[in-house]
Amino acid sequence: MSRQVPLVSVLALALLCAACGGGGGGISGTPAPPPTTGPYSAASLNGNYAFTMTGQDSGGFFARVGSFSANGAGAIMGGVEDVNSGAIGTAILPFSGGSYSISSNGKGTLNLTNQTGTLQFTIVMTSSTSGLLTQVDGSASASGNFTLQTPSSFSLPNINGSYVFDFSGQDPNGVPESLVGQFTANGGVGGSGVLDDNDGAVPSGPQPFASSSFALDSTFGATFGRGIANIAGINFAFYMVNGNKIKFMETGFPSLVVGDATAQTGTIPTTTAGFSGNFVTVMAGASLSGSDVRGGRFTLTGGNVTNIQMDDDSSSNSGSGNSNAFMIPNGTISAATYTIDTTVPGSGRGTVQFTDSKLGTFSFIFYLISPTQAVIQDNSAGIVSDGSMLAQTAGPFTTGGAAGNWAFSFVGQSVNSTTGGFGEEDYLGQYTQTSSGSISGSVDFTELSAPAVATNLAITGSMTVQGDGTGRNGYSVKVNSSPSATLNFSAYFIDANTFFVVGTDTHRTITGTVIRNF
Amino acid sequence: MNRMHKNVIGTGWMCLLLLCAAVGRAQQPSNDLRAGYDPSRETNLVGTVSSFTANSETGPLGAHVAVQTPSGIVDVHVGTAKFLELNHLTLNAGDNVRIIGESFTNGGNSIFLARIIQKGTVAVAVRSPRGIPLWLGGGRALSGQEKKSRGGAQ
Repeated sequence: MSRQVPLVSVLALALLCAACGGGGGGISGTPAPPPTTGPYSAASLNGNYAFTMTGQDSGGFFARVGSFSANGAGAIMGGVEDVNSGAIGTAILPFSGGSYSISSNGKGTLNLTNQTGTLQFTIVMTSSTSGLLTQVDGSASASGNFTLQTPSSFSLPNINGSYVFDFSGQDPNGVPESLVGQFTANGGVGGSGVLDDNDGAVPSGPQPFASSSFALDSTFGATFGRGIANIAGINFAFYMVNGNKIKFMETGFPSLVVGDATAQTGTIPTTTAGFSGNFVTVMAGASLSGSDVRGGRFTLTGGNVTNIQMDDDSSSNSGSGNSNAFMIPNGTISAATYTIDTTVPGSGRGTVQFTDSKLGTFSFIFYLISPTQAVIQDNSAGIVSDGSMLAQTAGPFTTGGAAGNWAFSFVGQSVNSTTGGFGEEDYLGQYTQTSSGSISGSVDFTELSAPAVATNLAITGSMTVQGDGTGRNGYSVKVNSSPSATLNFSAYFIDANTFFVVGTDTHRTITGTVIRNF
Repeated sequence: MNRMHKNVIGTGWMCLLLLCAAVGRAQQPSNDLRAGYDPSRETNLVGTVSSFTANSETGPLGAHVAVQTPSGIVDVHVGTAKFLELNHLTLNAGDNVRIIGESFTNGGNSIFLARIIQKGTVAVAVRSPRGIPLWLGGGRALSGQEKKSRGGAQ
């Protein structure tokens, strides 16, 4: 579920969600310091933006995809969203208006009003054209992203060529499900495709499908890029970002898978020998015992997988606590191989697998968006999970080199230390890192295990780059709430401006993406 | 793809059939959780609840029930308390239960992962046939049958 920025975790984290009700009261703590001066303002949000969010509302796992129009001066001029929720089923809800604000560091608020009320979000800009958002009105815990649309591209002829997709969520029976694959579209006329379906830890292997179909919405298509589609027999609502990126959400309640399709670019390797590089990956989903997140890096060369360093943060990992990430390798690595699948030529499908003598066999499927980007599905025993696999560029990485201003989104599950409750948590924030690795900034979050919503709390923390920085690095964020909470992670750099994190704490299963925002 | 909507909240007689199918299988050595769930290794646990813990201090995260069986106390992971509540199943000390699931080792401890829990005529599936949690989606599958508006902006 790659996006224009390499954010993959939020949609996959649909599978992380626990069964909880809405949020409750506020959390007190140390207010955030004044924001660092940066390049952002209300003018930074100007145009139509497609968004996707997943999380938990009163009906359980839910998702929304849509589009809103910002006027560059703090007003929302309109929009529309599709919702698939256990609370209401599916619905198309136009936005009649709303408001937003953006501080100079890119952090702000967004309110979208429709016939059901006003949705309240906090947002953080990750670039001049995209950002992250999380819901803070207490009616749900949910996170996602938004991207500037190109309305001139909103036509079926621009849905053209080969697209790689990653859809995750659950099937009609409530079983976690991941679908990754490729489809072709000839100017909006559906073509064939191939997909791998991991439905309840039953991997399908490559499954060809004969056709897909797309139609733009006569009401919302021209302005907001909305349409409907059928891919491999599944009905979706979609929102075009442009001809290269389309956001999908299944409309066949009670089933719900959601994710992005991205046009394939570059020369997609067709042989194992023709594909190599250092890759960073992050995946989120379910294991036998609950949620499971995995991330790390490895090198692919000549059919062999080397330099494996990964973290596996699972609800099942116990020791004396409830959750401790396993570091991989934990034992001796063997049978570490990868292939480009020549039985579905041109699809970009491939496999990665290796065996850890203490942790068992890890098995993954990927579909290449380009020679440096892929979606990835975990087909290891007892796992339903997916995410992104991205080439690691630049490096070596240093603590000093990571100095600057960063936006982040963390999503996971935790056991609250005060209430003992257990549920989803969504964090969104922005901070400044010094050249020595010290972090200072602010965070907003919803924690269903409290249950509570907190906004504009101060955070401190640290980034500690290890060695040349291309493997596992230390990273922690202390939320100065009352009582305070420290989130510890392993961090894996993709490039100088982006890294994935995987939680390493007890009582918490969590992952996220951190992006330099100026 | 298994995209036909089934009623995962089995009626009593349906689950009894399932339970009977599991009866009599010999107890096998436990696998590590990472080996995955093997339906052929499922067993039928019959006993009395000695305690219910909504948020256990030992893994896996979520709700655990201690079941007194003829061979001793078994620690059973039953998903989350919220999911059981959504499915109208309460587990209290003294309740007689039948649980289909599989025994695993986890960090040196033994844990029985429940797939179907039956108390009286109420039976609730908490995992898929391959052991994957059904509680992660909250009440969605249930909502398909019992959908109602519960407020909040959408």
